[in-house]
Amino acid sequence: MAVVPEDTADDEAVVVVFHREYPAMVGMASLLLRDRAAAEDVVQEAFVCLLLKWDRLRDPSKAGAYLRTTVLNVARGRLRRDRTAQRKLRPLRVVVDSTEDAALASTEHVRVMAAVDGLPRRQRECAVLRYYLDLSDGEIAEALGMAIGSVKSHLHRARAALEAALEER
Amino acid sequence: MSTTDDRLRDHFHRGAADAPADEALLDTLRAEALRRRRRRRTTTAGFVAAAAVVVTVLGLAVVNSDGSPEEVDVVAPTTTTTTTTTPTTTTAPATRDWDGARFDLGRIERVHREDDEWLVDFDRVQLTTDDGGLASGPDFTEEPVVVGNTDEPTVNENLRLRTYALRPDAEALVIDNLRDTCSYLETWATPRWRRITLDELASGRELWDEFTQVALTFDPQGYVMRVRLASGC
Repeated sequence: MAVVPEDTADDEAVVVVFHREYPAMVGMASLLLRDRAAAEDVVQEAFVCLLLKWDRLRDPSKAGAYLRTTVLNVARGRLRRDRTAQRKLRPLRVVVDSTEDAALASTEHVRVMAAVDGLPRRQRECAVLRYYLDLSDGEIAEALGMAIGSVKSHLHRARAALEAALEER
Repeated sequence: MSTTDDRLRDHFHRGAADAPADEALLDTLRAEALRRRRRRRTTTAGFVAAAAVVVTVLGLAVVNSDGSPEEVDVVAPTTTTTTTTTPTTTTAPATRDWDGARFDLGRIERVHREDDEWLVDFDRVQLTTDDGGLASGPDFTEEPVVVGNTDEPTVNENLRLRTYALRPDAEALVIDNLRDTCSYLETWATPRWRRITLDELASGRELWDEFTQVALTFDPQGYVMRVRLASGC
């Protein structure tokens, strides 16, 4: 049986993947869960899973893809098990460059994030992978285990909903 | 003037939490991974003892494939408790790592031949149930085929690889119209199953990639009689 060797912890590749992926994964999970602490928990759990399975990855260069899928799965499980998640939405963090535009930008940002929260799960996942991680349709399909056509369909619907939030006044 | 997509990207990035990749955190995660691995090792003896209880109850003669201690995650106690609910499958000696379950769900790691017998190295996964629990091999009372749009993803909480033997006449089935079954359309296509040979199964690595959810059905002797390659979306 494949066992992760003790020295895996020293594997430089792990360090590279960690530095490359951890911030983005927490960002992605926070958009899905709307809870920073929960997002960090989920990503840390996913990294432990990755470390345990490191030597069984058929292609270590796909560690990032494996991690994305694991984070998505763990985040879904967390949402499912915590039916009250929607009531625990954290205040949105709004960053603006100019105090003059702050009110307007904040309003628009709040609307868009509320629209993201209101998307059906698959649409939300597709939107986060596209607009936060900048993944292609194919990469999103791989991460979510769905057909590219389905990804396009989800993204089309998500974009329409989010665009409406942008255009609201 | 920014495009809609650019504006959305901006909002998503502003809405996401910042979290630096801290070396100390990585050390903590490594330590946790080591702790879990060691926990599996140290619980080996305990699991073997638990398995022996089941053997007594079921009248089975369980034989490990190589006789060596196995790594078993302690989070899988259902293996011992639920197996007792499926006594109809337990009248013959166990085959390889078969634990008496009628069905199993997971991912194929390898299909290979050994002493004129087809073997499959299998990574069991757990299916999330409606109540937020997890179901795995011995819990299933019907073939756990994961197909179509599903809100029930699988998780893998146990690193143990199991080796099962396939019957020479085992059915291996793939979905011909996988894309249609994963469509976001309101009407999802019914899977169209196509039988492939075991040679095709063994050589068709792309048929059981990381995302293929494989349902196994065992005969009463513990041989795999059906391999169903599916994929939820």
